[in-house]
Amino acid sequence: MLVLVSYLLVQWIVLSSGLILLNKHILSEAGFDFPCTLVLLHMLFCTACACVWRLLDWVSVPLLGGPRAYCARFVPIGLCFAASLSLGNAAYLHISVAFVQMLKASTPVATLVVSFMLGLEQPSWRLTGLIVLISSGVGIACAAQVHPSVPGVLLQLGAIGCEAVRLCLVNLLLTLRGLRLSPVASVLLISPICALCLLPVWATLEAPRLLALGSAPWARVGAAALGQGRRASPLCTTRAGAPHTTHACMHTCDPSCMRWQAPACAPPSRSTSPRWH
Amino acid sequence: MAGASLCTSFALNIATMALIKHTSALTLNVAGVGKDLLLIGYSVVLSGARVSAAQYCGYAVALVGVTAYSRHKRQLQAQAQAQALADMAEKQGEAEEEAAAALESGVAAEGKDLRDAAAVRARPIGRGLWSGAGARTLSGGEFADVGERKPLLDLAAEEEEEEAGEREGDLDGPITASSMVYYLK
Repeated sequence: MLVLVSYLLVQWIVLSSGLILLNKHILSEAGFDFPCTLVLLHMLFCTACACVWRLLDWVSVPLLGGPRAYCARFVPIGLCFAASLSLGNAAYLHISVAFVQMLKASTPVATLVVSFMLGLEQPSWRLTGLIVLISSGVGIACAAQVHPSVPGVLLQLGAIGCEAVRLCLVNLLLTLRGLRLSPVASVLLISPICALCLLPVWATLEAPRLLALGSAPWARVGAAALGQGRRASPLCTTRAGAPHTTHACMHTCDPSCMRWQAPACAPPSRSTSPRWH
Repeated sequence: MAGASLCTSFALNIATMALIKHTSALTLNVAGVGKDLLLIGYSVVLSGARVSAAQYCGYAVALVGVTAYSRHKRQLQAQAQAQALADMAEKQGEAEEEAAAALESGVAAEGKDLRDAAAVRARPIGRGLWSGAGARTLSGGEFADVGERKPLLDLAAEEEEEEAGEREGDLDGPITASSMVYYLK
């Protein structure tokens, strides 16, 4: 039992910090500055995976009582989730991972404030004290930042705000009505909506620039992956089964590997065609 | 690279699901804080982020607050759980009395059904407890709020879930506790 729990913990920590570092790397170091596109791709991929999971009958999705009830519950949540992820990813373009993590410590404050407003929680001295404590800590961390970037901080705070609203909505629309979803069931129910919500935003903000640049941005992220894959292990790129892919991903995004990979794909305007074709 | 990010985001959801299934709220809170510290350490040591001493102090203050908040939430959750268990035990008792009364009045054959129905009625519905502290761990595309722990009455409801599973099919009214049963084979 202890072994299982520690394995799961390590796996979760590696995956979640790996994902943050990968996103930071793609957006900021590899120069793929399309945060919305990245979230859209995530959502589409996750929807596809969750559908496979559903087809294989590995996850049970509760009955929701018709499309109207489904929309009323999940559209607001999906909207907030998409906004929170896109803003959070956009913040990586401006500020470092360390600073983002420090700002994220203020999420409980935002959540508490939103739940006071929605009447989900009653203000108390204890909670007010905690709010003051956390926000003064984050305030100090923010004021003492060496190279402060105002847009970066604002984007991250916006992401935290959306995340807080989303958490409260999950509480209000799902948990309070006795509905608890497993993560994969949530993926299946929420990510298609996220993708739909993101589509118009993506089409206006990023699609024109992305299409104008042609294959160059893709070459940058693709080439980096190929380079790493080649170094890591030939098996990683050929295996397709889910557990293997997971394993391969963990292998490919090994931070030590990523670090010395960075210079190889640094200048954004170097080549227009993928060299590996 | 982009592909790795996509795979990781889905794998993370599976990992979160497994973790929620097997650990307690405390473990998850600690893991969340540990992960944050690890990321900050990595960012500073290996990718050259500049963090001043005053910032570490500020972050330490914020962490104390966040930890106190998680603790507060856990206490509330434990209280509600105890309350819900007590309620359930009470209702179970009533159900048994009803069944006994039914048996006495001669409807022995229907007694079992009555008891089953009462047990279903007594099944706890998830209370609206949650922990916003887990939200700090949001990354990329993780759907579960790690603060949102496994169903409150998982242990107590486990036996009932077995039988409830078969009845789920004909449920099409509002969502109830029995429809939220999920599992990973």
